[in-house]
Amino acid sequence: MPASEAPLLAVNDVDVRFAKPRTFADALLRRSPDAVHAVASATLDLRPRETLGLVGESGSGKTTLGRAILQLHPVAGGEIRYRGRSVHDPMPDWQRRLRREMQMVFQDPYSSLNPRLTVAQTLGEVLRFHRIVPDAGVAAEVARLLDVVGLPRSMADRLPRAMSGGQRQRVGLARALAVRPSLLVLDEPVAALDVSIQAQILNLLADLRTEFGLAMLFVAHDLSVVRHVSDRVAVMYRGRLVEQGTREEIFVQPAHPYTRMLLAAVPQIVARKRVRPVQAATDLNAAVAGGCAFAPRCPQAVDRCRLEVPASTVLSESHSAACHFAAT
Amino acid sequence: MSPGTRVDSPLDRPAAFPPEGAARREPLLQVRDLEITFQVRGGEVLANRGVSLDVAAGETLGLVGESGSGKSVLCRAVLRLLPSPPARTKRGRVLFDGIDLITLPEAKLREIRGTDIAMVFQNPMTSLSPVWPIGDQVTEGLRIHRGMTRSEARERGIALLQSIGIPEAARRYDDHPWQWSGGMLQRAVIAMAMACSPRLLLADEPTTALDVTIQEQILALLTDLQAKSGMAMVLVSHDIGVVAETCDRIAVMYAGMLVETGPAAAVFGRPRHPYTLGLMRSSPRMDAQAERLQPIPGQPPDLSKLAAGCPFADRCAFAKDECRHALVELREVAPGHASACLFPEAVH
Repeated sequence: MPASEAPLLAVNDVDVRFAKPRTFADALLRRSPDAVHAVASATLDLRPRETLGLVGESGSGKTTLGRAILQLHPVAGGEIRYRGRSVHDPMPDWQRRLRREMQMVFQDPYSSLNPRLTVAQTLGEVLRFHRIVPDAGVAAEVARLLDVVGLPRSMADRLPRAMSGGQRQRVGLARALAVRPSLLVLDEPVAALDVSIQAQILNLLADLRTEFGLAMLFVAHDLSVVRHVSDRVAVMYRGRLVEQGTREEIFVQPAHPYTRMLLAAVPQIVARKRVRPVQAATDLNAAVAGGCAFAPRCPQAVDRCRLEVPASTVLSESHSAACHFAAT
Repeated sequence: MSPGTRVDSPLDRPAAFPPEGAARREPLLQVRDLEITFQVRGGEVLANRGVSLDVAAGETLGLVGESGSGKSVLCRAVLRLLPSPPARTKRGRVLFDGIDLITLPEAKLREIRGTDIAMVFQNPMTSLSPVWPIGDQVTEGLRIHRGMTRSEARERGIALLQSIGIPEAARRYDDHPWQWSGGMLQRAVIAMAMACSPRLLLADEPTTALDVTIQEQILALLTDLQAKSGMAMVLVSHDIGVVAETCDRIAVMYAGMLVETGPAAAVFGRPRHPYTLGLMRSSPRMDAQAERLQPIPGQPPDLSKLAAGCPFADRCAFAKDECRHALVELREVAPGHASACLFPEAVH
């Protein structure tokens, strides 16, 4: 993928905050309630036809960032551009176009489909709203979409509850593809599926990507899945992007100690028992006082790490890591 | 044993493992031909059909399979934790140290539950009461089963929390669950299970709700506790990586049946059931080139409409006509390694 190609999506220094509920003390002191920094100064871009894997633990902000890109969360700072134009530009035509070109696939196909609509109704609604095909052609287009995602046409009249998890996730994909998008944000699309079904969906995604030239932001916690689907990978920890690079850079030469810790922890299908050292419990709820958010867990942390937030160190054209010692 | 010879399986001899002769002592847990059904509207779901397995003291058995395969039902059936109705134990025995838990009076069973046999569930948030201090919950078993006073239990509880890696255990003993992160809570649940020094620990997806780095910590802790105490452990997981790295022996479940059992090295080194092979091939690997995955085609069968023959036949690349009719059961393919496939040599 030529790096010179203009990015389809550019996320620049984006912050997302969630306000905590207003407490009595807040009201008394007439101050605004505390905010949780769900995403802090996130910068990344996505080129056409590229898949970027966004990984991190629960609570790292990866889902929030994905949702912020689709304007499902307001952004507190920074800017998100799609095809060079701000997604916050309120022109109705532009917003309508964004809502067509950027689509989301959710983790849980049980809760992201309307339980009272059949597959044909779910897909037909989208096709009519965005006037993808003339009304007379909706039924044929639904049939075509079912073929594309590998569902038998007889499923068109099914309700979600009469389908398996894998089948529902295919409907979720068909719904996203119905409007012929350029960018898919997939939030843990296979996390709820059993491994044999997960493999079916991952292969389908690979096919769709080639067939339709889709760019994908693939949000997931499972590193083996991310390694399988991504061209590039971004790693998040506690709201910050701590490392970005090509798949090879992240999986072969990880520069951030957190990335290394994640990679080492992935269970492998080895034919022998692995002996791991017993460690003290990590309190993921503990507040971080300042400095690098990973410092309390980092085996290499020194005093500087607890005082100074590390800036992103550029390691190559495609590889960067937010660690004081990334370059060493 | 050549393929094709059939071992008739009276209660005590379905190709159990470890193989005859190798077993030097009675296994601690013996499950024999267990059949569990659930009454549902319009029929019955066969959740466990003819499950037989052994777990020896000091051994970790990994029970692996996809959702609905019956792994959790098996664990719960051992402790008789399934609600009845709808669950029914139709056949079979569960022997713990020679005592049949299926027929044991409830009062006697309560003496075994939580003391000799303990269980750890998937989600620590739902295994703990939100309104009680964590320490009191961890030591409840000590007060009830061991008759400890509150202060004795507290002293022991703090030591337990320390042993499972909770920093500042004395101060955090009185914390409530919301103050701890998921990984710490799962450690607390493990401490609770370990409180009465069980001889068998049933761990049902103990790390599924946790992040991968925390999962690693919990698996290390379980392995360490097991090695130190010499207890037997059954580790249930849908993740074959987790069981491969943690267990001595593996039992693969599909559609309520054990389809392959054996030493971990043998099962994952040379799988003899097409389902095991399918699970391995559909998992994305960290150590291989990211080529195309090989999913298992189709869906697991409807357990209320099981036909005769091998339940995997419809999804199997090696299936022949016989597979759809013949009785399938575990048969030994190598010492200690058994497969429920009619053609285990064809699996590759």
